[in-house]
Amino acid sequence: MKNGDLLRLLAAHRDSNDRLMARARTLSPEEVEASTDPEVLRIRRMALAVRGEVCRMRGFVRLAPLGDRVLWGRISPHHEIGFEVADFLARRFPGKLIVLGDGRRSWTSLYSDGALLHQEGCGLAATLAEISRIMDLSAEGGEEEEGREVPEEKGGGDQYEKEVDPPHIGAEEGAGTAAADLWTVYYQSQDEPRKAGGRRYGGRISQRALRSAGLDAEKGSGSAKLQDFI
Amino acid sequence: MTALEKIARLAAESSFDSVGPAPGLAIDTAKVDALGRGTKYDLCTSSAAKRGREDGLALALRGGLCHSFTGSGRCVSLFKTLYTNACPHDCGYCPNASTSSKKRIFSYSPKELARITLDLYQENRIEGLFLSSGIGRDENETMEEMIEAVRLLRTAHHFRGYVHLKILPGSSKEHVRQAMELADRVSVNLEAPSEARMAELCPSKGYENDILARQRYIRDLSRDLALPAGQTTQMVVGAAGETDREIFDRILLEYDVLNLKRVYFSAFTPLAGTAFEDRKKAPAWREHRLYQVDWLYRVYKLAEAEIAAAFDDDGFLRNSDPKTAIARASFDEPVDPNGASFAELIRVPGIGPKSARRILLRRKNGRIERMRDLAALGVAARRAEPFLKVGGKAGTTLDRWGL
Repeated sequence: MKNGDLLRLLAAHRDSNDRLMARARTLSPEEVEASTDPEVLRIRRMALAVRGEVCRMRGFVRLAPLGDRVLWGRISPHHEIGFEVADFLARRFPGKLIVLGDGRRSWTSLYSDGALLHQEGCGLAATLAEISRIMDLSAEGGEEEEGREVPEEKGGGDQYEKEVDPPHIGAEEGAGTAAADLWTVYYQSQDEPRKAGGRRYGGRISQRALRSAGLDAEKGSGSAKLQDFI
Repeated sequence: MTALEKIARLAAESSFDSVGPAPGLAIDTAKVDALGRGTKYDLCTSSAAKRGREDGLALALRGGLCHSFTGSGRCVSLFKTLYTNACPHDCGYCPNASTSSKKRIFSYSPKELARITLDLYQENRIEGLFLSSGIGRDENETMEEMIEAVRLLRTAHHFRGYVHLKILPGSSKEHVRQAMELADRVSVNLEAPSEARMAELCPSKGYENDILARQRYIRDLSRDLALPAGQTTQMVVGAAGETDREIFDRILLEYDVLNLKRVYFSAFTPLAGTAFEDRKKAPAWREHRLYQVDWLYRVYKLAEAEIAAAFDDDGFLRNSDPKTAIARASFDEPVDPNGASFAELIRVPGIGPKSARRILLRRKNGRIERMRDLAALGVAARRAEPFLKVGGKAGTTLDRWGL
């Protein structure tokens, strides 16, 4: 792991502190890779934990369109990786505004004409409402944004917006698009219980990741029912 | 103007749309289900591709990405589907065989397929497309339509996601070339380890002409075409009574002569309505042990003669770690991690290429005297301990196996 990558990952860890960062700055890639010093091991594990969460969030977050220029999705990461995920998706879909977040925070990214722009904001719903207003999406996005109050203060990163999620960002996955239904059919077509081996579903996709991304097609999986054994 | 406002306005003005507006194609879910089911036993959902970077875009990731897992724990990272389930072949194991009872025929159009792929990709449910197919009326006609679907994605929609295209047995060289220009990975299904076994699985497919000749096309064409994720293949294990040794001998040829990137295995599962429905199911562990042997050859670079120790007299692998079996057969004395070479280290069960490299790095800063240090470097200490000499404790446990 390059030192720059290590520092970036370590800085994003929720338990990161100045002392660990200072130690990490002194480490060569070889030391990070092969030291048996407990603190270096801890630094390595922390960096890998962040990298693992970035990977899971990139894979599990589901995006839903809002108008034809915005894709939004729900993530509640443990570590400070909102931009890492949003920037990645923005690069994947040039010209689309990517908005990720939960009830408290949101990360907005856009990759356009070779430049990446991003901005952190308060709760996802408020950010989406604000974007709808700016883009004048009220006609198309009516069902989502009708009657939603936009919080008065903007930009406070760790400001609590509301206890409850707004109706269109509920526990059920996204906005119930046609693709979501296709996905459910396709996803179920791929399952073959007789091919089970090694780590089952629960070992691959944690409850936390399921909740964080609000995956609904996957929710019932991995829980064996009585008839599976008869 | 707030920063958010700036970004949002910029997005609203952006003229480039990589996905394009959905024209609202109504898609029959029975078709999605049936053609999805048709690929349930197809393997390789890997989506890793070593492409050059284009423009700072996030493309297919070098390491691949899993978007979901089925209930049985298998990764779902691609929209893995058949183009059509019509097929004149009657492979005994295959649910799409012409003789399979109760089969309803479905087929996508290139447009439909491109649309579904884009919609799922845009919602971040998949990394790309895995497109296989029955032969349909004619392999070249079906191949053309499959290529057309991918061409639509790549050119009309600027789709940069991962694409794995199956080459249908018997396709023309021109179709193979076109497929290779568009896809990240192509593969021809080998299914059986030899001509004789193939005759038993599927009498209507010519092993040499329909399959191996196509693999050679791909090998020859890939000298000039990029094909970032290479050529792969897959085999069904345990349907025709073949031994693991036969399969291993075949994969040696596949790697050494045909330059394949990977061989995938699928343990045979008898399916209702197929000719083989009464045959015995191959145990899932057989697939797993074959992958382990494959790894030892391809990644650990063990010689064929060494790996031979993992097979029993009948040519089968036991349901135990083949690397341990090889180590028991070949180790004369325990390995000292402070003096062993890389090649010696990776032959120890519980030490892989990664931890072997770490041991070499760690040795520069002093001797390794405790198992705990090895564990911190990623060594599976319990498996490795009997084969190691660490801190003066050596080899005592080797005797336990009566060597």
